[in-house]
Amino acid sequence: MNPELQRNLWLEASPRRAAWAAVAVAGVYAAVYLAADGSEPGELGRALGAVGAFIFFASALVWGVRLAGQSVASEIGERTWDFQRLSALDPWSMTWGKLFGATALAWAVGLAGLVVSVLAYAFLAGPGPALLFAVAAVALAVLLQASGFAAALIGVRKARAEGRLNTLRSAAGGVFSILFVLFAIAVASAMSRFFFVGGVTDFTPLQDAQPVRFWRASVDPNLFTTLSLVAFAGWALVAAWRLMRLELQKQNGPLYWTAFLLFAAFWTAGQANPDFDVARVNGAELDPTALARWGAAAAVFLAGVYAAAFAEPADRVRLRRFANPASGWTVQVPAVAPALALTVVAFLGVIVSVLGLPAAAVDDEDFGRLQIVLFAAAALAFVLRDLAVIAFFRFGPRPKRGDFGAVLALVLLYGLGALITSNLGDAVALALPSPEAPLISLVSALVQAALIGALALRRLRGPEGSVTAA
Amino acid sequence: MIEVTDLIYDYPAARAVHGISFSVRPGAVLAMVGPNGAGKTTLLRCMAALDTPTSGRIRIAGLDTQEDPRGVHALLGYLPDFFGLYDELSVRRSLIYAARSRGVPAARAGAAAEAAARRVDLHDRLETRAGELSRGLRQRLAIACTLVHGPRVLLLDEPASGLDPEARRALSDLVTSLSGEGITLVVSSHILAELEDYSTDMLMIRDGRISGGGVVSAGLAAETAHAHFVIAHPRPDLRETVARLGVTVEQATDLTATVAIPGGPDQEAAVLAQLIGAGLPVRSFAPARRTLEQTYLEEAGRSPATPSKGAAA
Repeated sequence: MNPELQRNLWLEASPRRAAWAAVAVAGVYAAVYLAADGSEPGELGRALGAVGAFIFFASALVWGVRLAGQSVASEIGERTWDFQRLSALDPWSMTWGKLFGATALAWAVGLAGLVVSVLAYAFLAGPGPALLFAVAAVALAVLLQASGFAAALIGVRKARAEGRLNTLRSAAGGVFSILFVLFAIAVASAMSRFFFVGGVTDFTPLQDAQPVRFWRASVDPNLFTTLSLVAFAGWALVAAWRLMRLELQKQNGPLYWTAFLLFAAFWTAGQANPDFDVARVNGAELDPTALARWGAAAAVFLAGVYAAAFAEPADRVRLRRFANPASGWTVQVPAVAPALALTVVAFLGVIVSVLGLPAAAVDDEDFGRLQIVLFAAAALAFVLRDLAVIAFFRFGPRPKRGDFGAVLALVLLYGLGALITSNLGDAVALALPSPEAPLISLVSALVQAALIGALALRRLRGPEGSVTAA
Repeated sequence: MIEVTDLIYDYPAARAVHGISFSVRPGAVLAMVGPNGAGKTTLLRCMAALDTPTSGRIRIAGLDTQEDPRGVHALLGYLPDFFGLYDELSVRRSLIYAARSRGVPAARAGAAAEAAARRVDLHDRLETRAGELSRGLRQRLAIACTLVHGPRVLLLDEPASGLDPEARRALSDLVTSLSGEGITLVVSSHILAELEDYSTDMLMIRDGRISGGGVVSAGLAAETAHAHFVIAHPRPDLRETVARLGVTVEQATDLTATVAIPGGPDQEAAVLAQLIGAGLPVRSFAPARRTLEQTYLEEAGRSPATPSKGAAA
């Protein structure tokens, strides 16, 4: 048996704890059965199914996620993490041993609920939907637990790079980063379908709904949701494994992160299907499919840029090696780099899509193709400015406050800047990417990026010459 | 066995290790000494391939800590200054987990656990929960966990901190025993007395830099020991008499003298025989090797570290 799994089972799923959990679950079901005694079989089935689903939700999706997140944080708190990092276990064994070992009891209780729920569902709706429901539920639990675990590992890395002890609060940054990516993907997906299919209600899992149009295929919505959950659960496990590799001092290349971004963009863009006949704008025929798909992909890649910028530790050593590949060290590409490169590609895709539209559809008196291109360039320049701001704060002398400082600065730059310039006509383009005055936006963003980037580079040089040690 | 070259380590706001280079020979027990915050723990963590230095190289038994960190992990044991144990696990299960997680096959894990427990004298407490052990016994269990896979190098960070005299003696005996088995040890401490009994070499770290002459003999090898002797009757020419025997006199009165005796116990016996043979009525002869503290202070005086405003972790 995987030693890490075995250790976790010794600690977390001792016979006494397992017995208490079994008694609690049995008690809940007995109470429901007694309360529904004499009811129609269908009502009893629905009641037991609902209680089973609730038990699964509470155990696997709440308790289990908490345990998964704590599985690393508690090792650090108890000062056993260094010993584990020195172990001979490979990163994958450590990942699954810890992930499923720490949550073993939550899984046992959750599955006790899920089995009853699935049986009730099968009784009410047939075996096919019940099977899909079971797979979707398990995939959702794995997705959330692995995401919580990965978030905790992100917090651990950041805490170490910032010279502080990891705490549960440290995992918050990782949680927000992962939630941000998942949320952005979900929003991009929902928006695509909202605008081009007809409503986010289609996304509601396991209900009768219109088939999902995914690229050119028409897919049952429940099947689509289930397969999507399975795929993202797989990616969450990959994320946990890749982060565990780093904890065990192995080095990661950019391949898996790039592949995930491409998959997420593929998944999102595939749902951006116009549900109407080719429209007519200004008398010209307009088919926005390519534009919608590139736009959805750009949104996913942009989310990846910001998530990577905050999730990766402020590690100046790694950045120096990246900047100086001739140093002989294995080059470690920052996660921002591939996301940014893909964003540029997606923006180019958007621009090419716009240029491919009929002239009458895009060239009106106020808004032409050149402006669209300049606007896209300005938006990218603002992304660069934002990365410089994030680097400036996170590589400062107080890295513990770097994330907060960066978020505050961005809020002020965008919010306050827009507020101040809102009554000054085109001056608002100084603070925001403006489609009305994209050239001003572009120049403003580039100047800001250069200035703040220069300041950030000074901080990247580090504490050489300092005689004061931590 | 251990080679450290131009090692630099930066914390976000400060440099903790400033270009340190040294090497440790196989089988040595290196006492890494220095005040609190000198950078000892940082250096040990880099040597254990747990932290990545800003620049520089560390090789353990020929393996680079950054190119093959997992290989380095496999051949060393590291006991941090603040170690943790799984309090709810018994000693046996703690050691079995340690063995299995360090690559010992399942079939041999039980035997390896018992052997490790025996080495640290915990074999009679195998079923006791780790949380019920005293501070000294917990220390022994933690050391047993680092030993269970048979490491070639052992890094101990402040191992005697918080131990009572009896537990310190047991620790000293254990380190001596491990050294006798050919394990290379690096022991960090700011309490020199605890290192006195077992260290063969010493490295002084101060403000993230090597202070003194790098790795030096800790005094146990007795390359330059001393002997103090007393004669029964005053001899005004005592210094000259002893000097004529070819022995270096460090100080002398009419009744007593301190002489330098390089070479260890055999040479000490030879000098004593010379003194008696020269007709000196020796009534007391006491060899006295340099203490680690003397060595430390001499090395500190020889090449003090650059003054700094703060201290390294």
